Amino acid sequence: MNFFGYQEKARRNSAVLVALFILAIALITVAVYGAVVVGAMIGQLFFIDQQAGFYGFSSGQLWNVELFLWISAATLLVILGGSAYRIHTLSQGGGAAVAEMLGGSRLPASVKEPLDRRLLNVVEEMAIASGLPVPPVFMLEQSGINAFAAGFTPSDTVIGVTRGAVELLSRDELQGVIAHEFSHIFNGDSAMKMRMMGLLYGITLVSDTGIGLMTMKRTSRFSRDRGSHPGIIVIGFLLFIVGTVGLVIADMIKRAVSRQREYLADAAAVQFTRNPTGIGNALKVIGGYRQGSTVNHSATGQASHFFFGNALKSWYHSDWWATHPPLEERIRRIDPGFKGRFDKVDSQARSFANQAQAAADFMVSSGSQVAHLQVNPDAVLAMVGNPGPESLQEARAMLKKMPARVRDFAHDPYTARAAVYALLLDPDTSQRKVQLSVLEKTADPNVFRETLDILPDIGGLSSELRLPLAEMVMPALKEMSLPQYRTFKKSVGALIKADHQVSLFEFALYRMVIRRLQGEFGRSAAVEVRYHRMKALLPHCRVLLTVLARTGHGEEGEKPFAESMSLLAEGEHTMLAGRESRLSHFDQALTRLNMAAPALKERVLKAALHCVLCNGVVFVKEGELLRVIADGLDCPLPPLTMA
Amino acid sequence: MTTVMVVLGVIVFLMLYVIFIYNRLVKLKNRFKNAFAQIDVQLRRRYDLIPNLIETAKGYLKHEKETLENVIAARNSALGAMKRASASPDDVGAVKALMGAEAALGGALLHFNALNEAYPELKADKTIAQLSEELASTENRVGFARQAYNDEVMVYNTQRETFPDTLFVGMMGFKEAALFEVKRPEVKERVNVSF
Repeated sequence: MNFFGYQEKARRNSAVLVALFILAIALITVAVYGAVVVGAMIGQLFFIDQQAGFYGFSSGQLWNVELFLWISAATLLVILGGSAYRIHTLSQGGGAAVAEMLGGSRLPASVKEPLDRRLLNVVEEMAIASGLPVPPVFMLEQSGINAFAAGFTPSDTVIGVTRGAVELLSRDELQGVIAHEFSHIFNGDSAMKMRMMGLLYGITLVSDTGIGLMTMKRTSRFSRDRGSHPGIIVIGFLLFIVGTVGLVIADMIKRAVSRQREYLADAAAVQFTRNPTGIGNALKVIGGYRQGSTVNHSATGQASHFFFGNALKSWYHSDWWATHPPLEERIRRIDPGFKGRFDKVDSQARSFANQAQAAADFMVSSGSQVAHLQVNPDAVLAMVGNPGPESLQEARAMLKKMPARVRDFAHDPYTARAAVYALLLDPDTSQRKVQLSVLEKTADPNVFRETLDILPDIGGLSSELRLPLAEMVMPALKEMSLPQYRTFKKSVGALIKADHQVSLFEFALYRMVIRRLQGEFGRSAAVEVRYHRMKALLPHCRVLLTVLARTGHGEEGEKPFAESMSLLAEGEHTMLAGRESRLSHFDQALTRLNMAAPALKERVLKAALHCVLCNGVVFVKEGELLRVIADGLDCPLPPLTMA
Repeated sequence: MTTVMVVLGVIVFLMLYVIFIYNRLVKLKNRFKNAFAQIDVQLRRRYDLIPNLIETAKGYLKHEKETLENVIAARNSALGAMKRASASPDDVGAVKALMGAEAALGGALLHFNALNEAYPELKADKTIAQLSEELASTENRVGFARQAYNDEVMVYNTQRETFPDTLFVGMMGFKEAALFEVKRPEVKERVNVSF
């Protein structure tokens, strides 16, 4: 199965999830009814003088339709209200909301501490190798070894890692763990887990309500004055019990949906890094470490399904309940020779060794360089969401080629803006002059100076490094506050408009940077699938492929255009006229196409790849456009070698 | 009977609402705490640069030992204050202490810069010029990080004072957060330079 297949499957899994959720609600409603009946009975037993308190409900009567309807309505209200609320907050906050809930703090993109830097580098390499925007990293100050990826779309996805993982895992092991998390992103698991968390919140709310009712009596004078039913406390207690049932059901749902995905992600991590010892050893370290993968935080229960390893301890830890498959079994699938015995981990020694190693890694820089040009669209398509070790090595080599000064600029929120401005400045000196005068007016004077300062370095950057640089700046830019982002966005807009024509690169950069940032600063809800048939999408495909064909082949684009269109629909196809295929049309078409079902996206991307690759050369402009298309379709496409 | 149901409904609704308020405030609190990490990074950068600068300047300023020592002392106490503040950015006292230490350091540096004018050979030194430039750039970065932090603190403080949140904040222990503002002291007296 490929990327698109997994996405499709994740969507089906979401449907299963909703079905289980409905079933759980039904069960809980019945249980709540039972609890109320029992509560009322006990209440009447002890306080007979407050006769027949509940809905004409006399003792001995077990079934009362009116009461049942009331209770169903109330239960539904609580559960659905709670779930709706959680889904709302999650879709606003995205993956960062989960990380913050777990007590994580955003690791500044500019950190210099060797171990933190190493972590950010591993994440950056992996993102660039797979063509994902570099996600922000959150640090959980926990001594257990664990990690997670959360987010609806690539632009709001974050990676969370515990302090224990950073200190106790070697670079290879850490890479294995991060690769595992990336595969969750590719497979659509992170998005599904977000939805799951939102839905299940309502279920767990019942027990919260129960706890609230039990404690309410003592704090509220209101209820004492009314001499209200002491049964309320009993009901509260029973709700708590019922709620616990809800908790268990919620865990079972998590388990049903997410357990198998862990094996898959482990396998993908091995395939990605082609290094079974990395992730295998990471799992072994967890097994031999006293704290294991525990995350001590009040919100761990809600988010347990996000984690790399079992984050909960206590009786939950038994295999049967766990949201994760047993460690031994996971290791055995990677390393069949594993005997099931863990060596005790000397955490201090490991931590020191890793710190020394990380510090040393930054002194020497080496790295082999691999170049490969895939000309077969199917081969490239297979790389989507499944980057091989070659891509990883290439990304590493590419990042090494990035001048250190530029890298430093890209990692600091203050100067990252200057890096983006410098990227947008036209190489043509007369154009540049106009742009500079605009920038001087709109941007902060100090940032303007930084822009001039970095301009020679960025101007001299070879073209294949320019878009990766645009991806590198993302985490730093996400550290801005909302007002700062607004100013930045305005300056970028002004800079692009300054020369009265939007170049392809400017368009690509705007779409990649600003669109991604909107995920952080605006709403970041998952994109809804609205198109299930190719027919409705054909006009948009036509725009997309016209622009692509014209960019790559000029007016000789008719043939590649017709060929690639024929992959989507039968019949004769001609390119659109220039005025019908401006970048603004392209932009709209891409937005529409992103609402297509995964299987349709696969065909569209394949057609686009065919259009680009049919003459065996990828020109830089074509490559950039392809990147925008893949990005716009939320398909992580590893960078292609360009001519 | 209906009243019992209605009362129950109202109680449930209120509880959910309070949970909602609580969560929202926690989120905003996390935001500004995260923003503080950025200040931390930039200040650390600044504190790392200062000893280099002083070390290089020492060769020229044999008779200005006191000024140099003042800068180093101010730098050290600012570093200590920063460590305390970044351990708990929601502690108003710690942040205020850092603000004070930063202002003192700013003052000490101002004295140092005044020496620059008095000793032309100091000004001509390439390393000093480069370090001063870097220090100035770092100053801007600190300013930017501080602005981001203050933006987040403002959002949090405003939310905290909005009805009905303001009814619960005391009970839930959400204290007002401090804006990070550093007043740069003017040099009141001309620095006397003795040769």
